[in-house]
Amino acid sequence: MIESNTTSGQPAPGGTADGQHPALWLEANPWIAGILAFLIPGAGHFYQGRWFKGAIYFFCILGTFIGGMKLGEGVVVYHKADTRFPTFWYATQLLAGGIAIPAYFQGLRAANPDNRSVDLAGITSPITIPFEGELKAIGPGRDGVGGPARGTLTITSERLAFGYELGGRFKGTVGDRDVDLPLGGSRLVLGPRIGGGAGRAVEASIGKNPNDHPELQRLLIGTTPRSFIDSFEAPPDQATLNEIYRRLGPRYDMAVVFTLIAGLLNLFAIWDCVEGPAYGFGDEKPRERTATATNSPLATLPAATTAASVTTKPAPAIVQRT
Amino acid sequence: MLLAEIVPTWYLLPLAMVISLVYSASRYELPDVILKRAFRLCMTILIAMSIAFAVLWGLSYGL
Repeated sequence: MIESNTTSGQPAPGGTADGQHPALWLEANPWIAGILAFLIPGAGHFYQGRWFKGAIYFFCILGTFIGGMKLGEGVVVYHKADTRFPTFWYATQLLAGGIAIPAYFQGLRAANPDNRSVDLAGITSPITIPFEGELKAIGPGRDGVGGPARGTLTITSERLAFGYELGGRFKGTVGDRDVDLPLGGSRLVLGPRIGGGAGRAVEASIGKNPNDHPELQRLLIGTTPRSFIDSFEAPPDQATLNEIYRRLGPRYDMAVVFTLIAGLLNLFAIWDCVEGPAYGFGDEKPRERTATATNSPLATLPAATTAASVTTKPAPAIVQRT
Repeated sequence: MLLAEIVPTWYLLPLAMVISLVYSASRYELPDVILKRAFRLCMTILIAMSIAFAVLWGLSYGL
Protein backbone atom coordinates (compact mmCIF):
# COMPACT_ATOMS: atom_id res chain seq x y z
CA MET A 1 0.00 0.00 0.00
CA ILE A 2 1.24 3.44 -0.84
CA GLU A 3 1.07 5.95 1.94
CA SER A 4 1.71 9.60 2.12
CA ASN A 5 5.12 10.50 3.45
CA THR A 6 3.35 12.05 6.42
CA THR A 7 2.91 8.51 7.69
CA SER A 8 6.33 7.15 6.96
CA GLY A 9 8.23 9.05 9.58
CA GLN A 10 9.04 11.89 7.25
CA PRO A 11 6.58 14.64 7.90
CA ALA A 12 5.54 16.88 5.11
CA PRO A 13 7.35 20.19 4.91
CA GLY A 14 5.91 22.47 7.51
CA GLY A 15 3.66 19.84 9.03
CA THR A 16 3.49 16.55 10.85
CA ALA A 17 0.84 13.90 10.77
CA ASP A 18 -0.47 11.66 13.48
CA GLY A 19 -2.32 8.82 11.83
CA GLN A 20 -1.81 6.29 9.11
CA HIS A 21 -3.55 7.59 6.02
CA PRO A 22 -3.21 5.65 2.81
CA ALA A 23 -3.01 7.83 -0.29
CA LEU A 24 -5.67 5.90 -2.14
CA TRP A 25 -5.60 8.13 -5.21
CA LEU A 26 -2.08 6.89 -5.96
CA GLU A 27 -3.05 3.24 -5.99
CA ALA A 28 -5.51 3.41 -8.88
CA ASN A 29 -4.95 4.29 -12.50
CA PRO A 30 -5.28 8.09 -12.62
CA TRP A 31 -6.57 8.09 -16.20
CA ILE A 32 -9.38 5.68 -15.47
CA ALA A 33 -10.21 7.53 -12.25
CA GLY A 34 -10.23 10.89 -14.02
CA ILE A 35 -12.44 9.70 -16.85
CA LEU A 36 -14.85 8.08 -14.39
CA ALA A 37 -14.91 11.26 -12.32
CA PHE A 38 -15.82 13.23 -15.42
CA LEU A 39 -18.53 10.85 -16.60
CA ILE A 40 -20.21 10.44 -13.22
CA PRO A 41 -19.29 12.83 -10.40
CA GLY A 42 -17.86 10.76 -7.56
CA ALA A 43 -17.40 7.61 -9.64
CA GLY A 44 -13.65 8.10 -9.80
CA HIS A 45 -13.48 8.27 -6.03
CA PHE A 46 -15.60 5.13 -5.71
CA TYR A 47 -13.15 3.43 -8.06
CA GLN A 48 -10.30 4.51 -5.78
CA GLY A 49 -12.13 3.37 -2.66
CA ARG A 50 -12.65 6.91 -1.32
CA TRP A 51 -16.27 6.32 -0.48
CA PHE A 52 -16.99 9.31 1.72
CA LYS A 53 -15.70 11.88 -0.74
CA GLY A 54 -17.24 9.99 -3.63
CA ALA A 55 -20.62 10.22 -1.93
CA ILE A 56 -20.18 13.96 -1.34
CA TYR A 57 -19.36 14.59 -4.99
CA PHE A 58 -22.02 12.24 -6.29
CA PHE A 59 -24.92 13.61 -4.28
CA CYS A 60 -23.87 17.26 -4.21
CA ILE A 61 -22.95 17.69 -7.87
CA LEU A 62 -25.60 15.48 -9.40
CA GLY A 63 -28.17 16.79 -6.93
CA THR A 64 -27.38 20.37 -7.90
CA PHE A 65 -27.49 19.56 -11.61
CA ILE A 66 -30.73 17.58 -11.47
CA GLY A 67 -32.24 20.11 -9.06
CA GLY A 68 -31.47 22.86 -11.57
CA MET A 69 -33.04 20.88 -14.39
CA LYS A 70 -36.13 20.23 -12.31
CA LEU A 71 -36.37 23.87 -11.28
CA GLY A 72 -36.16 24.95 -14.92
CA GLU A 73 -38.71 22.34 -16.01
CA GLY A 74 -36.15 20.51 -18.11
CA VAL A 75 -35.47 23.42 -20.48
CA VAL A 76 -32.15 24.43 -18.97
CA VAL A 77 -29.50 22.18 -20.49
CA TYR A 78 -29.44 22.13 -24.28
CA HIS A 79 -27.14 22.53 -27.24
CA LYS A 80 -28.15 24.21 -30.46
CA ALA A 81 -26.37 22.48 -33.30
CA ASP A 82 -26.75 25.45 -35.62
CA THR A 83 -23.97 27.22 -33.73
CA ARG A 84 -20.45 26.25 -34.69
CA PHE A 85 -19.24 25.82 -31.11
CA PRO A 86 -21.15 24.96 -27.97
CA THR A 87 -22.30 28.02 -26.11
CA PHE A 88 -20.44 29.07 -22.99
CA TRP A 89 -23.41 27.91 -20.95
CA TYR A 90 -23.51 24.43 -22.42
CA ALA A 91 -19.73 24.04 -22.30
CA THR A 92 -19.85 24.76 -18.57
CA GLN A 93 -22.79 22.45 -18.01
CA LEU A 94 -20.92 19.78 -19.95
CA LEU A 95 -18.27 19.73 -17.22
CA ALA A 96 -20.85 17.98 -15.04
CA GLY A 97 -20.14 14.95 -17.21
CA GLY A 98 -22.29 12.20 -18.64
CA ILE A 99 -25.58 13.69 -17.56
CA ALA A 100 -25.05 16.68 -19.87
CA ILE A 101 -23.71 14.74 -22.86
CA PRO A 102 -27.14 13.75 -24.27
CA ALA A 103 -27.83 17.44 -24.92
CA TYR A 104 -25.17 17.43 -27.63
CA PHE A 105 -26.78 14.57 -29.53
CA GLN A 106 -30.28 15.92 -28.92
CA GLY A 107 -29.08 19.14 -30.56
CA LEU A 108 -28.00 17.17 -33.62
CA ARG A 109 -31.31 15.27 -33.71
CA ALA A 110 -33.30 18.48 -33.39
CA ALA A 111 -31.33 20.12 -36.21
CA ASN A 112 -32.20 17.30 -38.60
CA PRO A 113 -34.33 18.68 -41.48
CA ASP A 114 -36.93 15.98 -40.82
CA ASN A 115 -37.61 17.50 -37.41
CA ARG A 116 -39.83 20.40 -38.37
CA SER A 117 -43.26 21.70 -37.56
CA VAL A 118 -46.09 19.85 -39.24
CA ASP A 119 -48.67 21.80 -41.22
CA LEU A 120 -51.70 20.68 -43.17
CA ALA A 121 -49.62 19.67 -46.14
CA GLY A 122 -47.44 17.51 -43.93
CA ILE A 123 -50.22 15.19 -42.80
CA THR A 124 -50.41 12.11 -44.97
CA SER A 125 -52.33 9.91 -42.53
CA PRO A 126 -54.67 10.76 -39.63
CA ILE A 127 -52.97 11.79 -36.41
CA THR A 128 -54.52 11.15 -32.99
CA ILE A 129 -52.89 12.97 -30.09
CA PRO A 130 -53.80 13.98 -26.55
CA PHE A 131 -54.34 17.71 -26.17
CA GLU A 132 -54.22 20.12 -23.26
CA GLY A 133 -54.58 23.84 -23.60
CA GLU A 134 -57.26 26.38 -24.31
CA LEU A 135 -60.14 26.94 -26.67
CA LYS A 136 -59.96 30.58 -27.72
CA ALA A 137 -62.96 32.28 -29.21
CA ILE A 138 -62.58 35.48 -31.25
CA GLY A 139 -65.29 37.68 -32.61
CA PRO A 140 -68.93 38.34 -31.87
CA GLY A 141 -70.72 35.82 -29.64
CA ARG A 142 -67.51 34.61 -28.03
CA ASP A 143 -68.76 34.89 -24.46
CA GLY A 144 -68.93 31.52 -22.74
CA VAL A 145 -67.51 29.65 -25.73
CA GLY A 146 -63.83 29.40 -24.81
CA GLY A 147 -62.05 28.02 -21.79
CA PRO A 148 -59.48 25.46 -20.66
CA ALA A 149 -59.60 22.48 -23.01
CA ARG A 150 -58.46 18.92 -22.53
CA GLY A 151 -59.10 15.86 -24.63
CA THR A 152 -58.08 14.05 -27.79
CA LEU A 153 -57.40 15.54 -31.20
CA THR A 154 -57.80 13.52 -34.37
CA ILE A 155 -56.36 15.46 -37.30
CA THR A 156 -56.67 14.79 -41.00
CA SER A 157 -56.09 17.00 -43.99
CA GLU A 158 -57.71 16.83 -47.38
CA ARG A 159 -56.09 18.10 -50.53
CA LEU A 160 -58.24 20.49 -52.50
CA ALA A 161 -57.76 22.12 -55.85
CA PHE A 162 -56.00 25.02 -54.13
CA GLY A 163 -54.31 23.98 -50.90
CA TYR A 164 -55.49 21.77 -48.07
CA GLU A 165 -58.46 21.69 -45.70
CA LEU A 166 -58.30 20.66 -42.08
CA GLY A 167 -60.45 17.75 -40.94
CA GLY A 168 -60.84 15.70 -37.80
CA ARG A 169 -62.39 16.17 -34.37
CA PHE A 170 -61.64 17.33 -30.88
CA LYS A 171 -63.28 15.21 -28.18
CA GLY A 172 -62.90 16.23 -24.56
CA THR A 173 -63.88 18.98 -22.21
CA VAL A 174 -63.88 22.77 -22.42
CA GLY A 175 -64.21 24.16 -18.94
CA ASP A 176 -66.68 21.74 -17.34
CA ARG A 177 -68.55 20.95 -20.57
CA ASP A 178 -68.11 17.77 -22.61
CA VAL A 179 -67.56 18.68 -26.25
CA ASP A 180 -67.15 16.94 -29.58
CA LEU A 181 -66.07 19.61 -32.03
CA PRO A 182 -65.24 19.26 -35.73
CA LEU A 183 -61.95 20.73 -36.90
CA GLY A 184 -62.08 22.92 -39.96
CA GLY A 185 -60.51 25.78 -41.80
CA SER A 186 -56.89 26.09 -42.72
CA ARG A 187 -55.08 26.68 -39.47
CA LEU A 188 -52.92 23.85 -38.15
CA VAL A 189 -49.58 23.94 -36.38
CA LEU A 190 -47.99 20.91 -34.81
CA GLY A 191 -44.59 21.70 -33.34
CA PRO A 192 -41.45 19.66 -34.08
CA ARG A 193 -41.33 16.17 -32.59
CA ILE A 194 -37.91 16.70 -30.97
CA GLY A 195 -37.58 19.81 -28.85
CA GLY A 196 -37.23 21.20 -25.37
CA GLY A 197 -40.16 21.30 -23.04
CA ALA A 198 -42.57 18.56 -22.17
CA GLY A 199 -45.22 19.77 -24.61
CA ARG A 200 -45.27 19.92 -28.39
CA ALA A 201 -47.12 23.05 -29.58
CA VAL A 202 -50.51 22.51 -31.20
CA GLU A 203 -52.81 25.01 -32.89
CA ALA A 204 -55.90 23.95 -34.81
CA SER A 205 -58.96 25.86 -35.91
CA ILE A 206 -62.47 24.62 -35.12
CA GLY A 207 -65.03 24.34 -37.91
CA LYS A 208 -68.03 26.64 -38.21
CA ASN A 209 -71.15 25.81 -36.25
CA PRO A 210 -74.47 26.92 -37.83
CA ASN A 211 -75.77 27.93 -34.39
CA ASP A 212 -72.87 30.31 -33.74
CA HIS A 213 -72.39 33.83 -35.05
CA PRO A 214 -71.00 33.58 -38.60
CA GLU A 215 -68.01 35.70 -37.73
CA LEU A 216 -67.08 33.75 -34.60
CA GLN A 217 -63.72 32.00 -34.88
CA ARG A 218 -62.53 29.29 -32.52
CA LEU A 219 -58.98 28.12 -32.15
CA LEU A 220 -57.45 25.36 -30.05
CA ILE A 221 -54.08 26.44 -28.68
CA GLY A 222 -52.08 24.15 -26.43
CA THR A 223 -49.67 21.27 -26.32
CA THR A 224 -49.46 17.54 -26.75
CA PRO A 225 -46.97 15.62 -24.62
CA ARG A 226 -43.55 14.78 -25.97
CA SER A 227 -41.86 11.50 -25.14
CA PHE A 228 -38.95 11.59 -22.70
CA ILE A 229 -36.54 10.58 -25.45
CA ASP A 230 -37.65 13.48 -27.64
CA SER A 231 -37.61 16.14 -24.95
CA PHE A 232 -34.74 15.29 -22.57
CA GLU A 233 -32.10 18.03 -22.95
CA ALA A 234 -33.40 18.88 -26.41
CA PRO A 235 -33.12 22.51 -27.56
CA PRO A 236 -36.35 24.46 -27.08
CA ASP A 237 -37.69 26.88 -29.64
CA GLN A 238 -37.89 30.57 -28.78
CA ALA A 239 -41.61 30.44 -28.05
CA THR A 240 -41.11 27.69 -25.47
CA LEU A 241 -38.25 29.61 -23.86
CA ASN A 242 -40.33 32.77 -23.70
CA GLU A 243 -43.23 30.93 -22.14
CA ILE A 244 -41.04 29.21 -19.55
CA TYR A 245 -39.29 32.44 -18.67
CA ARG A 246 -42.58 34.33 -18.40
CA ARG A 247 -43.86 31.68 -15.99
CA LEU A 248 -40.72 31.04 -13.91
CA GLY A 249 -39.03 34.44 -13.98
CA PRO A 250 -35.93 34.53 -11.75
CA ARG A 251 -36.37 30.83 -10.95
CA TYR A 252 -35.28 30.03 -14.49
CA ASP A 253 -32.09 32.04 -13.99
CA MET A 254 -31.52 30.24 -10.70
CA ALA A 255 -32.04 26.90 -12.47
CA VAL A 256 -29.36 27.79 -15.03
CA VAL A 257 -27.00 28.86 -12.24
CA PHE A 258 -27.51 25.51 -10.49
CA THR A 259 -26.45 23.55 -13.56
CA LEU A 260 -23.50 25.85 -14.26
CA ILE A 261 -22.23 25.54 -10.70
CA ALA A 262 -22.63 21.77 -10.83
CA GLY A 263 -20.36 21.71 -13.88
CA LEU A 264 -17.75 23.92 -12.24
CA LEU A 265 -17.83 21.89 -9.02
CA ASN A 266 -17.11 18.73 -10.98
CA LEU A 267 -13.78 20.28 -11.97
CA PHE A 268 -12.83 20.17 -8.27
CA ALA A 269 -13.92 16.54 -8.12
CA ILE A 270 -11.91 15.54 -11.19
CA TRP A 271 -8.83 17.35 -9.96
CA ASP A 272 -9.11 15.81 -6.50
CA CYS A 273 -9.58 12.39 -8.05
CA VAL A 274 -6.40 12.62 -10.12
CA GLU A 275 -4.10 14.67 -7.92
CA GLY A 276 -5.46 14.15 -4.42
CA PRO A 277 -6.61 16.74 -1.91
CA ALA A 278 -5.03 20.15 -2.37
CA TYR A 279 -4.14 20.76 1.28
CA GLY A 280 -3.38 17.22 2.39
CA PHE A 281 -5.27 14.97 4.75
CA GLY A 282 -6.21 17.73 7.12
CA ASP A 283 -4.68 16.49 10.36
CA GLU A 284 -1.15 17.70 9.77
CA LYS A 285 0.11 19.72 12.73
CA PRO A 286 1.98 22.97 12.26
CA ARG A 287 5.69 22.41 12.76
CA GLU A 288 7.26 24.52 15.49
CA ARG A 289 10.34 26.41 14.49
CA THR A 290 12.57 28.27 16.86
CA ALA A 291 15.15 30.75 15.87
CA THR A 292 18.00 29.30 17.82
CA ALA A 293 20.73 29.74 15.33
CA THR A 294 22.74 32.77 16.09
CA ASN A 295 23.18 33.56 12.45
CA SER A 296 19.46 33.30 11.78
CA PRO A 297 17.91 36.51 10.53
CA LEU A 298 15.01 35.84 12.87
CA ALA A 299 17.26 36.07 15.89
CA THR A 300 17.87 39.72 15.20
CA LEU A 301 14.20 40.62 14.87
CA PRO A 302 12.11 42.05 17.71
CA ALA A 303 10.41 39.47 19.91
CA ALA A 304 6.93 40.30 18.68
CA THR A 305 7.99 39.73 15.10
CA THR A 306 9.63 36.39 15.73
CA ALA A 307 6.73 35.19 17.88
CA ALA A 308 4.35 35.89 15.07
CA SER A 309 6.40 33.99 12.55
CA VAL A 310 7.62 30.91 14.37
CA THR A 311 4.42 28.98 13.68
CA THR A 312 3.92 28.26 10.05
CA LYS A 313 0.83 27.06 8.30
CA PRO A 314 0.73 23.40 7.42
CA ALA A 315 1.98 22.76 3.96
CA PRO A 316 0.37 20.30 1.59
CA ALA A 317 1.24 16.71 2.37
CA ILE A 318 3.61 15.60 -0.33
CA VAL A 319 3.14 12.11 -1.56
CA GLN A 320 5.47 9.85 -3.42
CA ARG A 321 4.62 7.39 -6.10
CA THR A 322 6.31 4.02 -5.86
CA MET B 1 -45.00 40.93 -2.78
CA LEU B 2 -41.81 41.13 -0.75
CA LEU B 3 -42.04 37.43 0.06
CA ALA B 4 -42.40 36.59 -3.63
CA GLU B 5 -39.26 38.55 -4.35
CA ILE B 6 -37.34 36.89 -1.54
CA VAL B 7 -38.31 33.30 -2.27
CA PRO B 8 -35.82 32.67 -5.11
CA THR B 9 -32.98 33.70 -2.81
CA TRP B 10 -33.77 30.75 -0.55
CA TYR B 11 -32.29 28.54 -3.24
CA LEU B 12 -28.93 30.01 -2.26
CA LEU B 13 -29.04 28.07 0.98
CA PRO B 14 -28.62 24.57 -0.51
CA LEU B 15 -26.28 26.06 -3.10
CA ALA B 16 -24.00 27.41 -0.36
CA MET B 17 -24.04 24.05 1.41
CA VAL B 18 -23.15 22.17 -1.75
CA ILE B 19 -20.36 24.54 -2.71
CA SER B 20 -18.92 24.38 0.81
CA LEU B 21 -18.98 20.60 0.92
CA VAL B 22 -17.46 20.07 -2.50
CA TYR B 23 -14.81 22.76 -2.05
CA SER B 24 -13.78 21.42 1.37
CA ALA B 25 -13.75 17.87 0.05
CA SER B 26 -11.34 18.92 -2.65
CA ARG B 27 -9.02 20.52 -0.07
CA TYR B 28 -8.86 17.78 2.57
CA GLU B 29 -9.16 14.02 2.80
CA LEU B 30 -10.39 13.21 6.30
CA PRO B 31 -14.19 13.19 6.72
CA ASP B 32 -14.33 15.06 10.02
CA VAL B 33 -12.00 17.77 8.71
CA ILE B 34 -14.07 18.10 5.55
CA LEU B 35 -17.31 18.47 7.49
CA LYS B 36 -15.84 20.96 9.95
CA ARG B 37 -14.29 23.10 7.21
CA ALA B 38 -17.46 22.89 5.11
CA PHE B 39 -19.58 24.13 7.99
CA ARG B 40 -17.29 27.08 8.55
CA LEU B 41 -17.18 27.96 4.88
CA CYS B 42 -20.96 27.67 4.58
CA MET B 43 -21.45 30.02 7.51
CA THR B 44 -18.98 32.48 6.01
CA ILE B 45 -20.78 32.43 2.66
CA LEU B 46 -24.20 32.86 4.24
CA ILE B 47 -23.09 35.71 6.49
CA ALA B 48 -21.39 37.48 3.57
CA MET B 49 -24.48 36.98 1.40
CA SER B 50 -26.72 38.26 4.19
CA ILE B 51 -24.64 41.40 4.57
CA ALA B 52 -24.68 41.98 0.81
CA PHE B 53 -28.43 41.38 0.74
CA ALA B 54 -29.02 43.78 3.61
CA VAL B 55 -26.91 46.50 1.99
CA LEU B 56 -28.64 46.13 -1.37
CA TRP B 57 -32.04 46.01 0.26
CA GLY B 58 -31.25 49.14 2.20
CA LEU B 59 -29.98 50.97 -0.88
CA SER B 60 -33.07 50.02 -2.86
CA TYR B 61 -35.50 50.85 -0.09
CA GLY B 62 -38.31 53.00 -1.40
CA LEU B 63 -37.41 52.52 -5.06
